[in-house]
Amino acid sequence: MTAATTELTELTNFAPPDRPGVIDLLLRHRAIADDDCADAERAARLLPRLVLTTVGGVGAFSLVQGLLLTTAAHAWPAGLAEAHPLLAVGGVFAAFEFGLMGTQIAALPTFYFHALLAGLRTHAWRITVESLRARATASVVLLGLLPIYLALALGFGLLAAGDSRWAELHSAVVLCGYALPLVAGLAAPLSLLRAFRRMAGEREEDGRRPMPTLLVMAWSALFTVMAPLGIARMLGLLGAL
Amino acid sequence: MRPIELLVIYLLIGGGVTAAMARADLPGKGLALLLWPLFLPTLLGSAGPEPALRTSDPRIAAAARELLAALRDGPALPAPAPDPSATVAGVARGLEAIASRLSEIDAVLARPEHDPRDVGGGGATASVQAAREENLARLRALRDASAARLEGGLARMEELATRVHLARFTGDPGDAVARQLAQLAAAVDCAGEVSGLAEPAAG
Repeated sequence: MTAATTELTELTNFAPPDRPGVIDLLLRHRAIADDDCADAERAARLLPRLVLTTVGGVGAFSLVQGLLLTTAAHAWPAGLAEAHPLLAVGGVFAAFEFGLMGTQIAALPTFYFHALLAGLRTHAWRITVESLRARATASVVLLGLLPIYLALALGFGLLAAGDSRWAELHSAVVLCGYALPLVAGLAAPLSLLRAFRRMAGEREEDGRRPMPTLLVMAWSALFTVMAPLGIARMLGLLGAL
Repeated sequence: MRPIELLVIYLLIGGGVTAAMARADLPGKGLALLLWPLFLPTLLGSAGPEPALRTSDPRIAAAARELLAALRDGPALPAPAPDPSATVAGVARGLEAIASRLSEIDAVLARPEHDPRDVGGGGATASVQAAREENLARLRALRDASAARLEGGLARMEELATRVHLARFTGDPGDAVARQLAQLAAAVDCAGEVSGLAEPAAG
């Protein structure tokens, strides 16, 4: 085989490089993730990886938040803060998984029908995968914010150990930490908006103008109300045990 | 209804979804027991009828339809063989990727500035012109190679369909068909590219 033929064979071999990891897919290779989300079979294979990323991000946050809870002078819920650190971590994990995943699951049918109403004629599996992709993206952002929060809370913790006047501020920082997954969750609507705009561009044959922005706003509003309520309710229940 | 009863019903449905996912050989079975509402839509979506026919190229769709119909009436494939519909769907997608690439190359070659009669114009130096001509020649060779792969893939699908019909009437077991189907599927990589289909069939 001549060098030219070898080169030609290499050129005609359009095989892609190794499949990127899920974090790379979410942040760097979004075009590949777009294709995966648009194909039923590939989406079915991507879905567990998205779920694990979402659960992993919340798990890492729960580990940090659960341990920090036990260091705060006035933590909420007191029951979890006074419990064994492992129980505190487990409690925070259960509450956040229940709140975030529960909202995700409960909102899926509403979200699907809202998508149809907004002019996006698509499948339920596509809505599921895109919304989970958005949550997984938020989880990766949460993982990025976590070291900053940990450094801040530990810094205030050290100050509080040396001077009791800092204890209230340390407790306030740990309390604000509960909002971290919701702050990171702001990445989700951006990911969803991008996905729905792309989906809206895929189907224009019926002449109806889709409204992806309206759909994302409805989804965000639903999530903003339901998720914190679910988390707070679950934390309250677990703290009372 | 008490919460524990709701939980039992939830887990029972989760068990059903997990079993269906195991049957469809989909990943995430462990997660599906607890989070089945997230997996149910993809399970139903991936079980759609005749996925091979979702191709926009009529020749590929016809070849896939013919092969699927032959496989449906043909001899039973041995137990560990993959789902024939999904395999044919994968092959069709691979061929469609080649067809798409082919039309992209054709579009590039059809641009006026790539007309072989105009290549010498524009006052470029001889070495630049030579390099340009060489690039265009390689692009045309690439186009011919892709076209050969597409035609080879279609021919292999049609040949396999006739082999399935033959096996059906001669009473041959499905082992050889399953092997050939697996070879065809193996020639299609995950991006939809077919390798080795342009070579003439052995024997």
